[in-house]
Amino acid sequence: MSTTANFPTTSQGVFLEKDIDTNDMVVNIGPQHPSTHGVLRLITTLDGELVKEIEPVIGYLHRSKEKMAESRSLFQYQPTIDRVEYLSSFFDHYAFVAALEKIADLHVPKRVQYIRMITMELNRITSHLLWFGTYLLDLGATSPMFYAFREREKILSLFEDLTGARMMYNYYRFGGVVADMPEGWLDKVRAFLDEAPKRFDEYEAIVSKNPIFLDRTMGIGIIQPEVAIQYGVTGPTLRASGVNLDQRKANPYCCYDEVEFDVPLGTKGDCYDRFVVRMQEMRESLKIIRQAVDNMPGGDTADLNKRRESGDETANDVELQTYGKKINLITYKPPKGEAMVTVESPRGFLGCYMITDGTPKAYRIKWRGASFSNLSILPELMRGRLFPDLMSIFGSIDVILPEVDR
Amino acid sequence: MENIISNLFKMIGLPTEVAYILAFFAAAGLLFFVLSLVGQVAVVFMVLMERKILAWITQRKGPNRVGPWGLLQTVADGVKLLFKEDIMMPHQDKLLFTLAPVLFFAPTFVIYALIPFTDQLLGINLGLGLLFVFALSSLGVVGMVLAGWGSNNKYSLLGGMRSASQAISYEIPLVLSALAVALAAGSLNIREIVETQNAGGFGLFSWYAISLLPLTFVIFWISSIAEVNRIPFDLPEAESELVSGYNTEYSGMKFALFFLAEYASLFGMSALMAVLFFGGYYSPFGGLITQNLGIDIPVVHQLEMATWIITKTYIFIALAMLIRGTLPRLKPDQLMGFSWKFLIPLSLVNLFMVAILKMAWLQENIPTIPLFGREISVCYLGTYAALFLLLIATLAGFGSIFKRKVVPHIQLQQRTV
Amino acid sequence: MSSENEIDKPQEQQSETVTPEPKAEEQQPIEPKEVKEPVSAEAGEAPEEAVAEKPAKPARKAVTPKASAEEGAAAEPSADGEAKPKAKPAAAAAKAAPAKKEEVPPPPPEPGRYAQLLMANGFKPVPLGNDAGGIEMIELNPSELREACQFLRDSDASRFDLLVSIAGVDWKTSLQAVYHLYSTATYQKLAIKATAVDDKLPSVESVWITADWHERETYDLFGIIFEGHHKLERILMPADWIGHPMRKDYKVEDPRLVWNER
Repeated sequence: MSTTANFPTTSQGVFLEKDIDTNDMVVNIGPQHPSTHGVLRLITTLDGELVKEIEPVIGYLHRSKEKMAESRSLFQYQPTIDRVEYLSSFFDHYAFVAALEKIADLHVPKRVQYIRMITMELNRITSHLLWFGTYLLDLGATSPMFYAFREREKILSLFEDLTGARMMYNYYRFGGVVADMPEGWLDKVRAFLDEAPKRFDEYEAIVSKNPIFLDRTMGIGIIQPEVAIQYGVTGPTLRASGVNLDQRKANPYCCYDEVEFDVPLGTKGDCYDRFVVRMQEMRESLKIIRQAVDNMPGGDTADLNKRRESGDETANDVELQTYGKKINLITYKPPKGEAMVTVESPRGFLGCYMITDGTPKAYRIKWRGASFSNLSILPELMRGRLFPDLMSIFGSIDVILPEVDR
Repeated sequence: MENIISNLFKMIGLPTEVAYILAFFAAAGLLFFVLSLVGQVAVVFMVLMERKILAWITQRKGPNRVGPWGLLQTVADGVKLLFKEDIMMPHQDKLLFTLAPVLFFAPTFVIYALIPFTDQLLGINLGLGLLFVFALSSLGVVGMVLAGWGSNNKYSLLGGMRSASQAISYEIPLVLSALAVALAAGSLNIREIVETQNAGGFGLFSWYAISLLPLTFVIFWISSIAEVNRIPFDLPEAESELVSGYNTEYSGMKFALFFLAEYASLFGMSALMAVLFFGGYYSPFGGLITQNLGIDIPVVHQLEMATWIITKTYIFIALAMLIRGTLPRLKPDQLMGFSWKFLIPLSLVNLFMVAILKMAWLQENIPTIPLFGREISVCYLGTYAALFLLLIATLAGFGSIFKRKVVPHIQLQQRTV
Repeated sequence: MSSENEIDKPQEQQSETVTPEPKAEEQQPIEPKEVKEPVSAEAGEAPEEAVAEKPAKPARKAVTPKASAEEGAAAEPSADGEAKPKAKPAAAAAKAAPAKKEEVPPPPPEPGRYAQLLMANGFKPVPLGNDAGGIEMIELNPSELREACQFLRDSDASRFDLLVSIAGVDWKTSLQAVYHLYSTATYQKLAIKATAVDDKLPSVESVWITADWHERETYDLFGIIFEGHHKLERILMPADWIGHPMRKDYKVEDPRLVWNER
């Protein structure tokens, strides 16, 4: 192959010769790639192992969730929103249900709120555990994923007892939940709560003092707080940069103002901080769940049923029901109105903006996915970093593609 | 063996010269066939062992469906790979693409010929055996680079380049630490190294892993893990970055060749470690147990020798697998830095220290003190003690490099609103 | 105009109950009265001017009555704690207003805290009351959208440094973009609405970088052209997609997808 054939000549007829051709290499990472966590395409310009430019291409998983809402009644639409963010779909449901509850001003019983809080926090743990496993997998350690999945399976079994499904729950209803907890479920949750902290300690012991892990995460992918906010980054990724923004504290929804917990904040904003913040958040979630389980209005369903059978009128209080007001979901027409509900999902602000126009369908439903904004900071973080850092940085901002593409 | 075969050829009626040449190739082919057969049987069980060990680490059961305890699982996988389509894309360099797995596969199995499994069971007894082993083990890298280039795939290319740079970086400490062994033994013949190692009769304590500064062994071990591309040094096929690295484009039997050769080279390196540092085919109690017990049957001795070296080899294989189940992967810059800034200077220092040790061994007419029922030179003991202190200092330095101050970055924020 | 004093009272209550801010409060008693009259007059007209080229009235109608309906919804204390601080003054206002003028069916929503802040600084926001969750809504003229956003981000009284989302809404006659803002300093929320003129809106990419992707998404799904955006391309749909699928009148016209139509 002639190396000089394609080079232009100057007017004097002198060849411009290059002895080594050092073009940049454009690598098309994805849409199918082991560590893009779904179908993300990253057009990466590499100079050797150095990343010069990276451009995320999204939309491969666009299932037009927002358009679907226009052709279905709200009740028909609800089962499909599990898929907006399938790793923590209780949050989707909460945002959706709470938006309509605000528009229609539906009363939600206290017991329901507590059940919701427990399920959401358990769901946060499953999500963080999955992140923990896959993040270490991205860094090349294969075993932690299996450990993380062991705990996650236990929580999913709890969910299965409660909702009948392991992933796609569809458990919340407007103004309530579909059914009360099965008898003895709270005890199972307690058993998990007793066991989990030991496990989390184990995980940290395996990973967080490993010199290779520290080398690959400390000082890598530092996000300055101002930059993070500019890019709309939320959730643990933002808190790792030291911004104290947790909606559970800042704008308490559900019953988060009735439980005590701390918000772990990072100081440096590197991958290691994001790791520690998430690990710490799982422990804080356990705290919340324990308080919610202990303070559950009405207590365990078995007790409540006994009280009802024995004719205790207080057990039939509206706060202890599974619905505030029974509505016929098939024919239900919400009043006109609009509401934007953002919840603190495991990845940040998960928002549901709902406009109703008095018909059974919503006029417009907009999903605000936390991953969508979080992903947009990736090019900024990757500029001038090494290629293997892509995995530690991309993994650490915990993007889930169904939520990006919706 | 060559003679037998050449006689066979002569019996057919071929001229003597032709018969010899043909016999040479036939013998070489036969040897290679036997070696690769042995190697593949070893690999079959290594793959199963790895899967079982990883399953054990991660609390799973591992393969348990094909054959008793899943023993035939790898065979089934191999048969499946044999029947897979061998995909080759039009834009690939056909020659290099086909040549690469062969170039990777062949040298790793030839190494088996140089490992003394007993004092008799030895393919070739080369005077420069150790040198030849390293020559062969570095040839495998050519296969990887060719695979990366011939695949015409960017991931493969990156993987091939990484493997080249990694091999260059880690062969230096590998060879330097092996050189220390050769220096101590005074020979490059592998069998002689084994014999010299066990000549002292101290058993475990005369093995080079202990008598010749454990540091030598540690350097060799780390470098050999890098040499066979296993976690945490598996950058050429880093699955989370490069999909599968240099063998991304390979399928069917060509992929199986890469797969087999990787395990075969792990076996080869582990066997080499057993031979160079852990007394080869001798027991850790000095000599052979059966010999010490007075059983004087040669076959029993041979069997015991083979048992010892295979056991030692599999211990190292199991350790490599444990490491794989535990550690994350390094980055290329850390990998290079670790080799060039740390391992290579350390191995040079180590070589120097071993040379001093050797000089101490060679000193005569020096007062001796009785120890373990033998007369041991004071100079030897003094040097050894001094070097041991040096080693501890070095290891402390090693530790301080890797010991991080894990500052708890995290502060817990109480209610603010 | 007799009702103005009535409305002002809960206003002051509100600014006291919600987090105090020294600078804005000094200006409020003096300036809003001067600015308010032209604005309340403009409340009905300004958007019509803005969307003059399109038949604007249905769009307008679709917005205003809803806002008043939400007043009522927000008035009763909802189950969540989120709405509580703002709900009380709004309830007072809702009770006070219908008592005075019963003959006028939709009372114009009184400007909330941030509408007042914007008015005090020379912008002309149209207050739309609160949404069902108690988030204040403001309609802004596209011509001053970017500057107002910049002001809301930088002003110490608001500090809306986080753009939560941009939601396009197709009101059949006009396209609207709803900007949900959040303050990481004060944890307040705000919704800004802007109706596109000729399907065009100014880009706020220079205010919040995150608007880049959100605007691309809104352009992709609704066809709102954000002027000044550095690279307004499709983001969720394939690059060669025809049409903007979230529009209410969208039909699949791509011949390649004809199987989809049955």
